[in-house]
Amino acid sequence: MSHFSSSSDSVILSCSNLQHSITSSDHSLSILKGVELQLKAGESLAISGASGSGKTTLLGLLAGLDVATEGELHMFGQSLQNMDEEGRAALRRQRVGFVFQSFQLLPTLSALDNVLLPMQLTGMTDARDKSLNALDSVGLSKRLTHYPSQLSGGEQQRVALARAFAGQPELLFADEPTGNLDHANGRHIADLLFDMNSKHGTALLLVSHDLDMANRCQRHMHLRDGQLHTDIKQAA
Amino acid sequence: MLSLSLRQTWHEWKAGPLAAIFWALTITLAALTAVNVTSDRAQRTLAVKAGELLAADLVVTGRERITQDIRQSAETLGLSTAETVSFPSVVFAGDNSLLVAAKAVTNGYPLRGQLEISDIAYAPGTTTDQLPATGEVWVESRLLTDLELSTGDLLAVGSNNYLISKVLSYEPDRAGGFAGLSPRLLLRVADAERAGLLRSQSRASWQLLVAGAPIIVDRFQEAIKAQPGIRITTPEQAQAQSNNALQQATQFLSLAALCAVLLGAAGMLQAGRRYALAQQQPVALLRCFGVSWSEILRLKLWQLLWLMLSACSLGVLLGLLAQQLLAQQLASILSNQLPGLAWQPIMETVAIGTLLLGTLCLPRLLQLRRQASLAILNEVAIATDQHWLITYLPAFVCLLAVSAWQLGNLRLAMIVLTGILILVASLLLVVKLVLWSIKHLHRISAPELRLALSGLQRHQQANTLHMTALGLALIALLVLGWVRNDMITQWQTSLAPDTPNRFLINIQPEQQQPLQQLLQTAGTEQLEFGPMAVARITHINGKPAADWRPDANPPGRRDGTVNLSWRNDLPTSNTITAGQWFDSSNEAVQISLSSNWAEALQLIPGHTLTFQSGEQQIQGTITSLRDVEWDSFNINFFILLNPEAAADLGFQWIASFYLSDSNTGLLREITRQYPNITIFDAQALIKQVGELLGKLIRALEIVFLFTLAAALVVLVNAVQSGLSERQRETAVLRCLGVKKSTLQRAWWLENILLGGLTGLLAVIVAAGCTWWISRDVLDVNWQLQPWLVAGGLLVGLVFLPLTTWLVSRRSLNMPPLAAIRNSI
Repeated sequence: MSHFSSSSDSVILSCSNLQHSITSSDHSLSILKGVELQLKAGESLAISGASGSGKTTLLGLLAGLDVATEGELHMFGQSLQNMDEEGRAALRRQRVGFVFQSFQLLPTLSALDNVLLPMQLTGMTDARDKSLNALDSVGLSKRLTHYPSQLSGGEQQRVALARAFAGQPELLFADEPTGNLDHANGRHIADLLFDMNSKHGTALLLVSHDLDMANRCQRHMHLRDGQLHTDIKQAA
Repeated sequence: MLSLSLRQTWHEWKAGPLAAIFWALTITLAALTAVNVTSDRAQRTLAVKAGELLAADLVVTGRERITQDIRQSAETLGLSTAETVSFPSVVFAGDNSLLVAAKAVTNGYPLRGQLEISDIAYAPGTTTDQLPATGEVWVESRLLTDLELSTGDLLAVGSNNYLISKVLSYEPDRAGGFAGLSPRLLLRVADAERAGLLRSQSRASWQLLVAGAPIIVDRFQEAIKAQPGIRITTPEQAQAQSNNALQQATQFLSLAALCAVLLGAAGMLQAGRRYALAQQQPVALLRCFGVSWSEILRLKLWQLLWLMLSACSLGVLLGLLAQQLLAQQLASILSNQLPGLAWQPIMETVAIGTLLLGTLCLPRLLQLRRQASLAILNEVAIATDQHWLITYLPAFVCLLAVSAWQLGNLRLAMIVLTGILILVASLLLVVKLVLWSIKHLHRISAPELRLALSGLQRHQQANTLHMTALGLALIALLVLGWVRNDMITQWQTSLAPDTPNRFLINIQPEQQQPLQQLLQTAGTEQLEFGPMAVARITHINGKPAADWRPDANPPGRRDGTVNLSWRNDLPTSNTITAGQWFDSSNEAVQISLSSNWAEALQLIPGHTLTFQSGEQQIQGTITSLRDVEWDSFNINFFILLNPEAAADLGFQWIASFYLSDSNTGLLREITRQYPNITIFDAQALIKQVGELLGKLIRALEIVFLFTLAAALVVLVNAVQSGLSERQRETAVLRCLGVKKSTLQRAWWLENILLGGLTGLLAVIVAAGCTWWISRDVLDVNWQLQPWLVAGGLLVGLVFLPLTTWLVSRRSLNMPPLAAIRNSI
């Protein structure tokens, strides 16, 4: 937790009246219509919604991968709306991690190199040790030199988890992390994700269809008609 | 970053596109190194000895010995002088004979530079201030190998035998330029005179060499420049002439290398695009993890540097090996040994390689800056295309600059690039037409064939690229093969069995009768004698000749003299094209001109010409123009007179006859009895020209092999870029129940059809090119060459399917589920 600068109940991610629309040549499509959200340090929040409801768009905006059309968005106290791409990348660099539905491992790199590369490029010290520890913690210390094509789907997602946690981020974005896996593998990955989340005290923002998985988060919100609705868990 | 970039380069190299860039660059660099290093070595034979090109500071040349007056005026001014006389001669060793370029010299030669000699043929020479001693000759290595002699042997030259005492490995006034067809023989003027070689030599070129302080040399030049019958040459003029010949030869090689460079560049552009596409996901991912663009760019630049260094090392190495082969071909047709390797052309080639990589691949990579990290979530490549000008303009400007630099001429570079673009565009059009026309064959019932034909249609874009890349390389190689193997052979053997194959010139009037007897007794066939006089045209239609069409450049000698003859009947190999043949009842001077000579000067029947021959002046009217079959090997002249007109002219005889190869002893006898007579062996001459052309073409073929290799890279690239689409298509068809064996047969059929079409197209275009070359350049009958047609088709039929199979076999054999998963 070397990068923690916020106390456990401080808000590390917040948005208010977040709106996003896509404009094509003849019409404009509004995807998000005033999203309100707050995420505290160490907290886990699941966002679910129907296909095409804008979950992934929202995740991209919250992670600073894109800029919303309107609204306020703050990460670690800084307004993402006023930053350029390089500034947002610098903020993500050591404080944010990602896990994707389709793993997004580089096929030309071994498991170890996949974990190592982002840290090496950002000049992180002890990158190799951290990568080895992370891979060990997901049970892949014997598969370090294997390439993604030599690993099963579950193993590939474990490498992705190791990559996400190796840099010890304060905030982890997970986009359907079990969406491409069978039930048993999905369960194993979910266990690992929540274990590591609690072990590292990382805040987790999870986008998922999987209600079981969503329910394991402390909070669960539903995206419908471009807006986030009542925290399902609290309402229940 | 160093080790990270090295590892990344290695990982990405294995993935494909980076390797394709590597091979395209390596081949380009190899072709450039081979040609540029060879050209540099050849050019340096000039540059090193630029000041010695004439072996003097000034040379006075004439068809007669330079007069005593001129020589004395040089010596009076305190200038050093020496004399040389060059003439063709036939030399003998046992039963073997050889036409040589003899040069007789006096003491003092060379006035600038030094001769180099050795004891063994083709050994490096050492400089010497000596000349051959009396009774000795020095000869070029080629003469020793052709006549199977070595130093210490005797050589029959004219009426005498001479001892070959040294091998002449360098003479300054032959530096750099092409050696001509015959090897050099150097002896003393006194020996040449003693052997009767210089008696009334009509083919001799006498030179007075002069050297001294520049001001004095200028004064001497000023004093003699108005003298008739001489030509003055300065070192600058000599260098321009030598440069010209060599530049033309090296320009041919550069042109051939340019084909490889352009195809290599196409491969780099193509692979660069694939690499940039393949990098979209990793870059988006790294951007997602917060890696800055400058860090990514730094990594990519390091990777390009490693790629550059490794491609340079291998490319230069391959290029140096190839230039060794090129140098072997060129060394035997250049007069002197080539100097060693220099670093400059290698460094220049590496600089060009860097420039090519920078302009062809870097803009694509820079495009990745616009790669949105969001793409990683959406799993679609967010449009990152930049304006096509940004991608292609640097590449085009760079290729134009490289072409201009390589050819030494911007205009020529633009013509070549435009020509290649037109050829490629025409090929693309034809290929598209062919593929389009296949659409109408779909009713065929065999499922494999139907699949194959529809495959040709579906993958039209990739197939067009395959056919164009391989087609271009095949056309280049087929044209060269066609010209080398068949046209030159045909040209060499175009003489009918009994057409004259030996010529005797310089026969003095008193020698004609006994010589005719000797030739008839010896059983020669088709013997024909003709008188020949040397004349200068002084007036045309009453105007001084120099003022008549001053820009005209009629065939014949540069000094304005022309050989003419006279006869009653029209020669057999001539046809009247305008006017009437001589009217025997008319004693006035009648002139018949060869039509090409008349055309050059825009002369027609009715025009008048005035000649000066010796002391005689003749004025006459042109009565006819003739088409002359120069390749008939009969005695032919540009100008013929009626015999009455030439009654008072001084003349020599010229003879032509057919002599079987088994009777070469006769030639030796002629040389012994009449040393002044020069013998020309037409067959040997044609053979020598053919060999020389053959060597140049072999050199070109070596360079064109790089073109083939570059085409292979383009082909492999094209196959790889369409692989995922193929894979998905195969997987879907398999899932839909089409048998694996049916798909495989269809795949082979499609590629064999594609290869066959490529081969056919290449053969047709090559046939068209060679038809033009045979008609307009070599002037021989064009013939279909079944072996080359078969070869071209076979290469297309085998090479393309095999290459495609080797590249895609693993992907095509992938289980359908895996293929579909891979393509999601």
